[in-house]
Amino acid sequence: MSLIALYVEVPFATFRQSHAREYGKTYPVPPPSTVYGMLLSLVGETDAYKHCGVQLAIAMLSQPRKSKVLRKLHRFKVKDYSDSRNTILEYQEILTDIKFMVWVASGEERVQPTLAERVEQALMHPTSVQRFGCLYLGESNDLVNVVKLVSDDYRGESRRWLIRDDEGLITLPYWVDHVGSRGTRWLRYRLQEISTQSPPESSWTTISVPFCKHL
Amino acid sequence: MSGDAIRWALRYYWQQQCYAVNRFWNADTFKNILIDEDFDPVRFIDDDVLGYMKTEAAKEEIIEEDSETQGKQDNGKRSKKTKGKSISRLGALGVNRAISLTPYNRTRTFNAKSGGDKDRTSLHFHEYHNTRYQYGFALDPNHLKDKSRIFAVIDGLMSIRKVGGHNNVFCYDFSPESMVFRWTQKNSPHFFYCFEQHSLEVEPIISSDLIEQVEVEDIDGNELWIGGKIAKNLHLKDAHIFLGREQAVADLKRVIARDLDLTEFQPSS
Repeated sequence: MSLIALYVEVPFATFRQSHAREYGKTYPVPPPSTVYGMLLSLVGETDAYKHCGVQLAIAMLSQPRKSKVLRKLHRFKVKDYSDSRNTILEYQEILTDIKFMVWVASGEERVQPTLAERVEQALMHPTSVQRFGCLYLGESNDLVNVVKLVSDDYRGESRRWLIRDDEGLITLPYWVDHVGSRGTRWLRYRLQEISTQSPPESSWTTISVPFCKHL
Repeated sequence: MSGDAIRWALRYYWQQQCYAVNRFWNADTFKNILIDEDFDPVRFIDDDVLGYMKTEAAKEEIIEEDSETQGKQDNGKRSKKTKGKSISRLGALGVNRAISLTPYNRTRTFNAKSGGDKDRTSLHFHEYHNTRYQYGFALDPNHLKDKSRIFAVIDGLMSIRKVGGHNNVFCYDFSPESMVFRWTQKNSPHFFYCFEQHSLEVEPIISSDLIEQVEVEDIDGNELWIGGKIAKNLHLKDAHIFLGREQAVADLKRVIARDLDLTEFQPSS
């Protein structure tokens, strides 16, 4: 089974909640769908369905603090681009100091090379990978500062694992339908501090959708 | 300070330097004017460097008739549903938030409105922050339609002026007093927010984290260009260190031109 562990560090990010409207509410931790998107960007993959079946496990190493900022939001109410009605001010929540580890397991994938193999290749030999743009986590201003391959025992500090829990208070998407929201899929989680180096069984999330053409 | 504010200032710099920009700022009417609604990253530097997104709503949407009525031309219409569309381009440049090097200490001024009618805003406080800001950016030059635009990005960031703040107090300078560039093939920079200032009375320094990363060779010092006041008395293995900002930029541009096989620094027409 192809399994790798990554350390990721992002100074600022906002993980916009699926049901947020003008007020830009953020999830407290990076959702599996967002992390999956970052990994696809890292390897230069534009087909979101390509690595369906991959499993992710996330452990937070920091406790991101939440702030609220006022920002200008563009919308198109009237055809004239310059019309002031196309701009409104809205609040947005942002998280600061996001550090986490993510394990990528590609045992259930049907494609070769697997996502874990491609990520490993991209990080060890960046020039061998065709990709474009900067690496973001969340919105396209939330630049990733560090992403690197690590071992299970990297930074032996306490880890707060994202554990699947049907009664958990954190609902996160593991698949986002960007055309409408009918295909978006969520799971419920809790954050739990567990003194283990390897991902607990209940921390794995499978990235999959019913109509995934690669499964 | 948001990355968007910095991106806005960068675009305005290009406009003032007579580069072709698609989003043109009219300083008299305080309005952005879009030159080409279809966008053109070849023609416009801002479309290329900063990216864009054009969205178009569905023009026609008729949702009706179940399967029983399909095919009966008189009683039912065929389902006709056009989709909206969006054309977007991810910009080659990413800009992070600018944050203050020192915490806000609640400094305020007391002001009075002069002349005219007095109202409830005649006496007012202004909060202000005497500080420096630091921010990070990343650029993928291979994603540019015109790779030589990388020089326009560097020149813009070195000369940037109007970033955030009041409309009428754009008078402070946002161009960098010191900067650290990393010219690398790596996927992530590993040194964002590498300036530290422990109080207003002392000058900023490079973070011990960056120095350690270079010392243990996690970051190749040869990939770093450091310029400005921060470079004073700084010793970092293999790094290109210049007291002068312009010297640092000129040396970096020379290496970029060599690596990207660019023969001149002149902006594209």
